[in-house]
Amino acid sequence: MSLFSLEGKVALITGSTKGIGKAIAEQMAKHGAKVVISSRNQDACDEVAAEIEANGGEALAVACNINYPEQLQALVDATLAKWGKIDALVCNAALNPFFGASQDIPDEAFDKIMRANIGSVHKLCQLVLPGMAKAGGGAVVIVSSIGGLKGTDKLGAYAISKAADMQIARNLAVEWGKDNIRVNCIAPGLIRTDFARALWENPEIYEATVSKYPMRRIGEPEEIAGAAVFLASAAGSFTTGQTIVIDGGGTIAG
Amino acid sequence: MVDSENFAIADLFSLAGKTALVTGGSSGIGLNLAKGLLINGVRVVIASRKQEKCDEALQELAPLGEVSAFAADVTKPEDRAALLEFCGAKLGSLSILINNAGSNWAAQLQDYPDEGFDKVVSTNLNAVFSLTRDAIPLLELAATEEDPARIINIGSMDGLQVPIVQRVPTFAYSASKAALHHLTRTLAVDLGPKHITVNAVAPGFFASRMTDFVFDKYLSDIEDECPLHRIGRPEELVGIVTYLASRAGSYTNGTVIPVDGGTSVSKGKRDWME
Ligand SMILES: NC(=O)c1ccc[n+]([C@@H]2O[C@H](COP(=O)([O-])OP(=O)(O)OC[C@H]3O[C@@H](n4cnc5c(N)ncnc54)[C@H](OP(=O)(O)O)[C@@H]3O)[C@@H](O)[C@H]2O)c1
Ligand SMILES: NC(=O)c1ccc[n+]([C@@H]2O[C@H](COP(=O)([O-])OP(=O)(O)OC[C@H]3O[C@@H](n4cnc5c(N)ncnc54)[C@H](OP(=O)(O)O)[C@@H]3O)[C@@H](O)[C@H]2O)c1
Repeated sequence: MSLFSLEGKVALITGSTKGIGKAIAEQMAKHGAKVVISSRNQDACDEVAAEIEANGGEALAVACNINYPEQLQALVDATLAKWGKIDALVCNAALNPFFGASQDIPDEAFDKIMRANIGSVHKLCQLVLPGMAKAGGGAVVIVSSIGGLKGTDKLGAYAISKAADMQIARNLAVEWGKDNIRVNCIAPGLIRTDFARALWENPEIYEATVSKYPMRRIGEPEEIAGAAVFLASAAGSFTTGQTIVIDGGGTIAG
Repeated sequence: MVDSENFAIADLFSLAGKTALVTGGSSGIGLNLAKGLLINGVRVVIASRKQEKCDEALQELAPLGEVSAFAADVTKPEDRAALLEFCGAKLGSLSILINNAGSNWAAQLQDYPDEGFDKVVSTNLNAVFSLTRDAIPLLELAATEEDPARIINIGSMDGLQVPIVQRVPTFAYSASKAALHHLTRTLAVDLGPKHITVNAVAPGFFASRMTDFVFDKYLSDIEDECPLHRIGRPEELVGIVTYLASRAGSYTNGTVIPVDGGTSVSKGKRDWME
């Protein structure tokens, strides 16, 4: 069996109808995993699941808003009812409802970011890891962001939530290592998805942005998906507690 | 520009048709990496100082694919030049350079000699810089925007934290590896525009000649400090190197990726907070 095979494994990916989450689901399915497709919109989930099945994969579509713990519980329940286990949990969905100075963020927006972005990762791990341990182990991949590595004057609360992802990975790697569960983050730089459309659609803004990046371009969703497959497969089985930065060198370039 | 459609057809982790130089490829981690690359269709040159070790390794590797060996001391300028000339002749270009050759020196502080310190730093740091600088023309021949050439430096968990096994101190080793990690970042920023990525892997404990003496005495301490409670398996370094060298890793640049079972992120037994 290939080092990167996910044959026979079940992977649950939040926010997987578009962008990075969808690329992760597609690549995991391509590498043999059964995948759970999820987002707030059931129709979109059905569509992506159908696409994956048309390409020879196996997929289950379950709508879930990560802002609501009871929906997270239902997502996990539906997966276990269908396939009986979860080998790879990918916490990818996150929200960012506020752009501006920390001084100006309304309490409700701050609370929502903390609950949805940090709370959902924490809750999903609480719901999934005991079963994963009983089944002999598995992998959690959290999609964080390079936003969690440096100070920012416009995305403060979002960046706090992304830095928290990295600490969750370290804590749970230590807590669950003895059960053969590995927990890692991926911290993407600017990636070509709807989330970051404003920064790549306009050629002038694009050129100004990438001129500062060593590789002079932004990343593609598939360039994040590869790391998720690596971390979930045997190839990544001694890697835990880490954050893999995938930004073409943008962050270290200053 | 990378075309998304490209990824759909090609295997994200394929290395087929690439070329690689693995320094220190005659034993331990380097030998295993050479095996992994050959099995996945890479044409490989290995190098190390001793001709007999090269010959022995070659016997083991030859059945796996197209491989040759060259005896060279990476700390010697004339050896480096001859090695790169050999790579040019054998491989035509270099899509992957793995700077893996390394050495260690362990002694108590008062007994730690300058020569020992110099030897370790010149192998683990200076030679990596010089060889990399001189290999750029060969790497550029293989580098494209869609499929950059890759430099992978083998650093160490010891370059991220004070080594666990403090009873046999390795001052030069851990300092050289920390410096190698930072050299990785500065080279990554410099070489990115040439479509060459530079990353480091920081292994925890893996079985090799270098670690045999430590495992004899301290294996259970090492396992206790590791959240996964074991040492690494050879294929786990093949995994990260394959990731970094394939399309999957083509936007990963300037990173230092620990492959240490979580040891370096764990507060471990050396607990000062409670
Ligand atoms: N793109 C970048 O440059 C970049 C950089 C760093 C980090 N990231 C991180 O990457 C992750 C994915 O982002 P992306 O760029 O792929 O974004 P995207 O293309 O906008 O996709 C987001 C996905 O999440 C779903 N989603 C949104 N809100 C949700 C909610 N409350 N509950 C459940 N699902 C929800 C969306 O579907 P619905 O709208 O239908 O729910 C969609 O499937 C995020 O964690 C983001 O922080 C992105
Ligand atoms: N094993 C571990 O747990 C571990 C952990 C972290 C990092 N590492 C790193 O992994 C790398 C490989 O180490 P290893 O554990 O596999 O040790 P090893 O078995 O001792 O292998 C070292 C290799 O480097 C070669 N070498 C040494 N000095 C050289 C020089 N000046 N020029 C050319 N080749 C030279 C050796 O061959 P010759 O004697 O023929 O020159 C041998 O092939 C090193 O950089 C080491 O620091 C190892």
